[in-house]
Amino acid sequence: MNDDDILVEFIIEAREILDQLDLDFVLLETTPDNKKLIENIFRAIHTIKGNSGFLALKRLEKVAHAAESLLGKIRDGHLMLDSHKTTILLSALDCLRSIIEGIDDLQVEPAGDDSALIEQLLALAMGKNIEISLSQPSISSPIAASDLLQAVAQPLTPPADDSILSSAHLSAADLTESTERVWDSDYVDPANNQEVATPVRVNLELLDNLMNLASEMVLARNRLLSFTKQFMDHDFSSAVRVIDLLTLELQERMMKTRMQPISQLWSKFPRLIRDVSNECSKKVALIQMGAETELDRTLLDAIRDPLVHIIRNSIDHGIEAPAERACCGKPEVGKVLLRAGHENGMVVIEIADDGAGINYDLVRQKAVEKGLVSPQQAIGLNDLQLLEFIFLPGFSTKSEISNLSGRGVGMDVVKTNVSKIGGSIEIDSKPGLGTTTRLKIPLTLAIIPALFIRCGTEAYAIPQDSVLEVANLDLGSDSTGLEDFYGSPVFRLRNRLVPLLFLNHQLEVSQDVPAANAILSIVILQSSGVRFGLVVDEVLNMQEVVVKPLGPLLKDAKDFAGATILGNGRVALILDVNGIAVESGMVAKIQSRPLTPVSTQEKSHEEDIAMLSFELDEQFRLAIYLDQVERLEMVSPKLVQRNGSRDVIQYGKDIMHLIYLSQYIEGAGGYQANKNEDIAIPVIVHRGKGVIVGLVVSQVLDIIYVSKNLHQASPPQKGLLGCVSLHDQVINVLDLEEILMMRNLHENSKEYPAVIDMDQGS
Amino acid sequence: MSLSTEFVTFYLAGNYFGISASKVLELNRNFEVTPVPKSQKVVSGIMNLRGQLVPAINMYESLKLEAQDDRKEAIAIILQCAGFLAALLVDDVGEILSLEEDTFEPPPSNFSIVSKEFILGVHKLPTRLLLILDPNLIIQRPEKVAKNSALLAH
Repeated sequence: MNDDDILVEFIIEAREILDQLDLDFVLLETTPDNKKLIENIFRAIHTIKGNSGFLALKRLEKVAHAAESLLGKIRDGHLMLDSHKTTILLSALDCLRSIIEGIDDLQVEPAGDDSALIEQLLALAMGKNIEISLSQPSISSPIAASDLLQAVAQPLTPPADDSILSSAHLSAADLTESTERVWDSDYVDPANNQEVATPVRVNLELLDNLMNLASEMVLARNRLLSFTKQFMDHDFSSAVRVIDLLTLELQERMMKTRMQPISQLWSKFPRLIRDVSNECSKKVALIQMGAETELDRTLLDAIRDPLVHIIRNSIDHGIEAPAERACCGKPEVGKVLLRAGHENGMVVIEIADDGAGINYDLVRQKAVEKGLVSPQQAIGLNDLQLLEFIFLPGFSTKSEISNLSGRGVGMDVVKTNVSKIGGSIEIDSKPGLGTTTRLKIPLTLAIIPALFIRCGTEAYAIPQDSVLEVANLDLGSDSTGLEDFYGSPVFRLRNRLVPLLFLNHQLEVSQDVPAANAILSIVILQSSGVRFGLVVDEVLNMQEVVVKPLGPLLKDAKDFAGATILGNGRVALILDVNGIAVESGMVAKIQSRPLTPVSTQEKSHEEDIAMLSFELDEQFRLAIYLDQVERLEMVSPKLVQRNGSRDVIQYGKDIMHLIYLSQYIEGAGGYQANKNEDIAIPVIVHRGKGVIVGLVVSQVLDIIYVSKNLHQASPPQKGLLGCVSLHDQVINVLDLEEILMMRNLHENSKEYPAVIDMDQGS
Repeated sequence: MSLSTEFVTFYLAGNYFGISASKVLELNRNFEVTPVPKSQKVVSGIMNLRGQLVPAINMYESLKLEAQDDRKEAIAIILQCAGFLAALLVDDVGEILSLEEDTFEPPPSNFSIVSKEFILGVHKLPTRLLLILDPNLIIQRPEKVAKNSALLAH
């Protein structure tokens, strides 16, 4: 082990010790009599001091020594730990930490002067109660603050030096005594030692490499598996099967090594909460639940900043000052609850506070002030819609800017960061009761579903979570085609203007413009609150991909989020939708000039309702509420299976029951599914209470927006809710619930004929 | 007695180059490079080396060599240095030579075939000159260039 290795080891160990000390100190403040804890803290600081002395890191040694002197007094019961002393000791920790980070960067101890801090520590250790509190900024930048103090205290340096020396002598005597006690207590107090097999510290890079190899192993195994079919050799096949199983297990175990409990992240929060609540003079208790929940380590890193931000918000905006809380009849100490757990293959992290909640009226007022909505519109907005504003850049309800929050930079960044890792964020806030923020994070970043498209000769992947839909625009036949909106091309998608971006121009692979009669393939994307269409050469397929970083040489490529290796071994780039939206100037353009021309139309849509219109046979037009439609499918009649009296079809992992609407609707023609086995039939898929049904229709027409108020049919018709008029045409609206009910009765009737007779008699 | 060092030799536009064998992980003949649009010119693209993404360095661009008709870039020399991997695309590889210090000379001052900054020196072989490249600089330079231009922009 050479010197560098020793230094690296030292830095890692010191960081761990400091993290633990943060926790210990906050705990100690609540239980100042905890002798064991003081002993542990003392020993930890002593370790740092000893090691830094060994490595000749003078600044570290001096600060650690001064802190140790004060702690020694507290341990021996000469002094009591109070909030002031804790603050000074914590700033000593911060000072140690910043020096250690400096060493990590520079490989040598960074220059700096800590004498002001040391002086204070020693003065406190001598029992003097000096009240030069290290001002708040010292917590974030202890060096700068102590430099400042030092500059002021410059003329007084000689006596200060004396005091350091004298107290150094003083505690040197303590030291021999205390080291003995440290060793003694090791036998008596094994609580702090890890009893079980100690985990081994492994380099992260090594783990990543192993992970990589395991994935490659899987690919190699796939190739091997295809050989077994060729050779049909029993021994060979069984050998391959063993490899197959081992590879699978290897991969699974490797995935597990990347998982780390969320407590690793949360352990930093008690200190954070202490600092923030002191800063806002509030009293806050932190409750943690589910700290053992495991997450991929890259995800842990990614959610650190969002969590810190949300917690700061909770304390600064949410939880009220103690006096105010007392007035509302709440306990003076506010609560912040962190809860993590698994839900549907995602990790859900909740940050709840019992504070004042979000002031919806204030949000509404600010939204009007900022010109985001008209006053009339604002009144109509419900709480959920108002919450959306919180995620807009530059939106803040705080009137004055504090050190912590209120600058309006925040929740939008939180949302972007969370969605970057494929997660989502929800806020639930009840005025007077508190706010709960829920983050849903995927278990692992490594694998994401992506849409492959072609641009020029290369295939690119687009992460599926930003893809809204894929559309074709026939420039030749479309009446409006491409339009120009302030110099950028836009097109109409269901009466909404969508700005377009040509991927080949954005990536500078070619400058071709589409021919006048070309059919454009457009992927509609949503990112950073912007919706735009990306024109690609061809839409290929969906596939799950393993995301890999591009590495330092290509880190400036803003258009790409990474790359993946395809089944054939070739590399495909993954587009960074967010990056492209920003790089192309799309975000700035849309934010400066919202696409208003259709907004009047949009507005009328808000009072309207979306329906899907379809034909049952040539004349009979029907519509169904769009929210009842899960998706549209084309089903081959060959796949339809007769299951007793019902027609069913395999739909993914589930069974879909086919419904022939003509059996239920009065007046509909006797349309039956086309018996010609070669023509696929269109089916509208509806997912109801635990059952998937497919409505067999002859043709799906369009999405229409019609008035919410239906014309009642008189007399009421079976299976129909009523009708709407669109362009002088009457369209009947399907009563899906009634049809499903009738179907169930119908089904039951096969088993219990008596029942149906009674029902039908009505 | 002088120290001998092993060099992997290769050809680019008819020039004869060598690079310290200790930095060479392997030579690769079957590889596919995926171009990365809008990246720096010295990076031809990225390739897959057993599941790892490796940037492929365009040596013609990197050394400012004139591209010739027989430019093949048929072989990738995989370097492992300064903590990460890179593939140098070269036309052909030659033998691995073990050379003594005494044939080595610093680059002559009137040297003009290629960018001089990458040349550590020259080995005088009986028949021709072998230009020794500095692997660290070749891998790191693109980043440095990017940094410098970023500094200039500010």
